[in-house]
Amino acid sequence: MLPNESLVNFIFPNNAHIDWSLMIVIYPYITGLVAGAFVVSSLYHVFRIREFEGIARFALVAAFCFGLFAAVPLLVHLAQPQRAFNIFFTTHLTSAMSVFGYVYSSYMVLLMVELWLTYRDYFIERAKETSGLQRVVWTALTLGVTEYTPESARIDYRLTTFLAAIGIPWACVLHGYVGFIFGSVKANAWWATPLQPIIFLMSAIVSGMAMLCLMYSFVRWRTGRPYDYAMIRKLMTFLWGFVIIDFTIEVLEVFYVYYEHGHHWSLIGPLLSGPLYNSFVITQMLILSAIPFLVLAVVVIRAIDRKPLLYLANFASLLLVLQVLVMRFNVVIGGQNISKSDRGFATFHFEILAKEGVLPALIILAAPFVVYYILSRFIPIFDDDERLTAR
Amino acid sequence: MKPSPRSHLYRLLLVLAVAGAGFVGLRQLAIPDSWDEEHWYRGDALDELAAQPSRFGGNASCEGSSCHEPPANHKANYDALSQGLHAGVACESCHGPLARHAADGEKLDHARLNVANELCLGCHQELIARPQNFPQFSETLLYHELLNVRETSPCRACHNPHEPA
Amino acid sequence: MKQPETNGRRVFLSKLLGGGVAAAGALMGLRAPALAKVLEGPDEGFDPGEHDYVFVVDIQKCIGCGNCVRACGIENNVPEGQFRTWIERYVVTHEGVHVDSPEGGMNGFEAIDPALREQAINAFFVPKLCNHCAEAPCVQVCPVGATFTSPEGFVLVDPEHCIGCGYCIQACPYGVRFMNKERRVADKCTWCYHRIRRGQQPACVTVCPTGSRSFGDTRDENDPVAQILKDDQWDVLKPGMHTQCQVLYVGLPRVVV
Repeated sequence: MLPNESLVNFIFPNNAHIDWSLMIVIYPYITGLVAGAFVVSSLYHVFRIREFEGIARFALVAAFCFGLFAAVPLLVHLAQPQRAFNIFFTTHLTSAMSVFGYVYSSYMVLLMVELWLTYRDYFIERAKETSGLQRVVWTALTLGVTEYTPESARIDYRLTTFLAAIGIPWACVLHGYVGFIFGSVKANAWWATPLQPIIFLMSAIVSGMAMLCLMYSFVRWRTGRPYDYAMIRKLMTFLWGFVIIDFTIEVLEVFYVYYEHGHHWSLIGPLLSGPLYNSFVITQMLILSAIPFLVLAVVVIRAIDRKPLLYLANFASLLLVLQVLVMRFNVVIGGQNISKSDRGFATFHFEILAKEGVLPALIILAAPFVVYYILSRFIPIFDDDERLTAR
Repeated sequence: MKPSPRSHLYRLLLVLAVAGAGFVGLRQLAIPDSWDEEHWYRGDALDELAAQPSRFGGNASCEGSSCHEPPANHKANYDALSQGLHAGVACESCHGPLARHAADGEKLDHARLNVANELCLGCHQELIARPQNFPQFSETLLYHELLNVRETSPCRACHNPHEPA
Repeated sequence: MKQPETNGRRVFLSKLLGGGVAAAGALMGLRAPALAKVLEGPDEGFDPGEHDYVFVVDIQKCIGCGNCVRACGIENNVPEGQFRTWIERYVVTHEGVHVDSPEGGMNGFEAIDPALREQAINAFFVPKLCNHCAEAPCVQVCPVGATFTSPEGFVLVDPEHCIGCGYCIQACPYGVRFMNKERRVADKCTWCYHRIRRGQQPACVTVCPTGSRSFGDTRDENDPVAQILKDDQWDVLKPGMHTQCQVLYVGLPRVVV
């Protein structure tokens, strides 16, 4: 089915190539993981959800690891990466994209300060215990203040809470803004909707929470330590709530366009029954949204606990992590499938080794986990970490 | 004297301030000198773009030029062209880009022209999307039929592109 | 159609031209001397504030010969397979619309399928190029100011400042932008800015044999395009985008996107 009474698949000559490729798919994905993981840590620090106390620090470290790589896909995508800093130097404020550099870097500074406050006592301890080069590094991390008084601890606690509180709107800005970059492009019928920032934000929180569940379970399993089932239950309850909001808005957006039956539907109807049928309708909606939604409903409503809870939670989380990745793909690539000719669809081809191919994308997606592993060698992330229990 | 419980925060602020100041300084250095703050672009870009050489010289450089002997004389062909049915067709429409054809009375670049039927048919092949009143080649045109003219027959045997009829 | 002129802009430009002539002179020195004056140096007497340019495309005159596409490619070193301008062929039937643009119409068009021809109720060619929108989405979305509106109203790309993010390509409703394969920056039709500054016509206009393409200054009473504005019988592509296109189409059928 082709749009606007087209007899042949006519695409504008310059639309044959899809410019925004896998790098732009994983960029909002990683940014979303940052925002989602941060929200979990803030749920403890600000909203005092007691169950998340044990993972608040873990969530913060995870958010930091993802944050380190949020801008990498963009950099790889740029045709002139050596000029990337122009976005800081000649920031064109009419552009939705222009303040990304500032929003992102200020968010990273906030994240780092909060991490620093959280780990300051540990840095001080290490600086006192170690000697030689190690001592220099640990002391540098303390900024030379090697006294940890109860009074300064109180001040740090208040500051941490404050940072977590402004971190929530800031995480929302960071990710809602990524949605705005797409939602404000009036030339693209599949992107242009004011709901886009909310869709991006909700799916970000879903992916971040689900990813935390997977990482938590994996780390606990590998290190042979007990699972906090009450925490997992709570996390799944929140996750279910965000999945409901996310799924509803995504469906609502498409349904509105369908019901209005306007210009947008003339393009989106054929898009969804054509190039996006498998990846949107079948994969994203029917498999990766509906199944975890039902599984989480069972987990939350039925009093499932212990091992069954662990398995179901991880099953749902895995599907949701994939759902959001596929959703990013469907938005970014789907929008570009529609040629500006309004009379045809461009085809996307997966590349493997190219600059924006599957392999570089997988490497960038894997990098945060590697950094997490390295960090976990040096700093205690869970309360029952051996470095802490040994003391 | 005991150190202030906030001393680590003061040091953090100092680190952030130094980083911030360094960034602001770097930014000042990195903004191009000719940057137009009002319309937000690099002013020098205009003249750099304008410096791109022209490949098509336009009729101005052929008009009145008496180069070459007849019948290839520029002036004669130009005058004939401007009075005939091809008036309005620029020299370079058929001859290609000629901005570097000649300078200072010296020939720099050839005006290559393949006078095959394709050149004529590029415009005059019969196509449904062409305007109805535009002359399009037809083998069934009475004159062509009488003379047994096919699409492959040399157009130039009868038609002079500079004075077509 | 045009943004209002501001004094600041004019003052800025006179300053700019003063400084730019020296640089342009250095560039000219590299070329053969005589024609270089006309062909490679910006015109010193050129005042950008004195012009209101529009590009007019007369659909009823286009014969789809492809001269414009070829000339544009040569004039601007457009990489193969990418297009600053192209020609579309529309064949409208009761069943639907058949549009094609083989190689952007660079080598003209073959005869269409006879069956389709039987059904045709209308057929015509449509040249496309950058609309140099007065409210250009590409200028709005460029995060670094590498795409901008020149004082003369041309939408241009600064190839030395572009970071190659491609946002402008997404934002353009008309598909006229592309990532230049060779230079690796955003690229598009400039209305041959370099030629206009020298008092020449855009390359595509120069070689168009039928006058389907014309370019001119609506402030100049004697310029044929001034009459087009007076007649007020023109259309723009995708008017719903409200980008204030400055490429005006005469005789544009509604079916054209």
